[in-house]
Amino acid sequence: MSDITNQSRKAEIIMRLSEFEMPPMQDVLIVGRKAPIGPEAARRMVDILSPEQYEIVQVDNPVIEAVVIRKSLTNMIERDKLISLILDEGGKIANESTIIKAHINIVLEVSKTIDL
Amino acid sequence: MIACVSDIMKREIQTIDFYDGLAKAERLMEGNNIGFLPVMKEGKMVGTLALKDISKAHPNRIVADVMSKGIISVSSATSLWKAKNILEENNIERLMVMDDNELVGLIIQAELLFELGKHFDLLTGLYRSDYIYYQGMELLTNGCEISIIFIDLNKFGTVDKDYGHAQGDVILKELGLLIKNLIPADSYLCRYGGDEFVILTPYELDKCVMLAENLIKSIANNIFSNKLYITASAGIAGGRRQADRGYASPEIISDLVNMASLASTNAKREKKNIVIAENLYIEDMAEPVLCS
Repeated sequence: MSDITNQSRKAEIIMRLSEFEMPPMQDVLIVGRKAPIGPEAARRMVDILSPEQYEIVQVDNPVIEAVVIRKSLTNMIERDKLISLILDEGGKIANESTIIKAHINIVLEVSKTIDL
Repeated sequence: MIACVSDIMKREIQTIDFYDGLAKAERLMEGNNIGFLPVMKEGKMVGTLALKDISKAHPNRIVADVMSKGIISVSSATSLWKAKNILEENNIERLMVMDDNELVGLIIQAELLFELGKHFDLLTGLYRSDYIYYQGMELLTNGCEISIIFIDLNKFGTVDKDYGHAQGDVILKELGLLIKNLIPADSYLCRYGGDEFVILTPYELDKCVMLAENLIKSIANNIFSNKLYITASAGIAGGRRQADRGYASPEIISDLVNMASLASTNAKREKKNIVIAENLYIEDMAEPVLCS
């Protein structure tokens, strides 16, 4: 066995910088029943980061505990219809321990015919 | 008299804040050797957190997202019997004690049962008088009629002297079981003293007398161990309310028990099976009316 005469220990530091997404949860958060944060913690978070812009809706679902939703969305579409849609689609990929964030674009198309 | 929750409740209670994390809650439970914490928000109790709730939840969660929101509570003046019923009805082990919406104490089922154990008669397995006072208060509070049958064995001392106290104990045990099996489900029995038993009924006088007559007859016809025959006398009080009293108080029950007790003494003295106490209040009590 040879004696060690030279040795060194080095650390490499990698830094990635990007803009903090504000608010971090976009339009909708789907909170699983065993997710690391629950509805009350989510409420506290969004109330501090974006006061009065989100509401938390507790849902009756075996996997999903609550949906955090941007209030402006429910001004455009009836809340229950939107939640039902979110649960239908989000439920396919969410599980008890996940928090899924969703981006929702609502485009209203209006067409009217008038008499000339 | 009736023991109440404030007599045995735990007054120093460890609590946890609504926004605290589960890790802190777990540390508090381990450090204090408890499995339960009341959850407080801005000085008010808003829920409860049990160790089993923590074990099912993600450790990163805050207490608010794991706690049980329903709070089952009683006031500090609630009787221990009532507290026991509430625990059993809700299938829970702990009961919050709240006065004017303020958390003032905690009742733990095991400690409550230990305390109530003192209100059971070890020989006969029957309740002791405290239970009768509690049930009497329940009936009075619900505006029901109440009547008391005080049963006293005749010459029971001779059984002890002639056959020994152990044989006397066996007979008391058999008698307790006999009466327990004879009284209807809406009546309540306790062993009041040595050879004295009290039955609380929701009946008016006539029905109460019928029950007492049946009991006295059944006791006289029963063959106790060692082929002994025992007779008993009964005093009856109450069952003659003219109108709703509008209030409930333990004094009403203790007055009725006293009157029934004195009536049973008169029954023994007069060698009658049953004596009905004449007046409602003991201080106004007239000469008893002798029956059969």
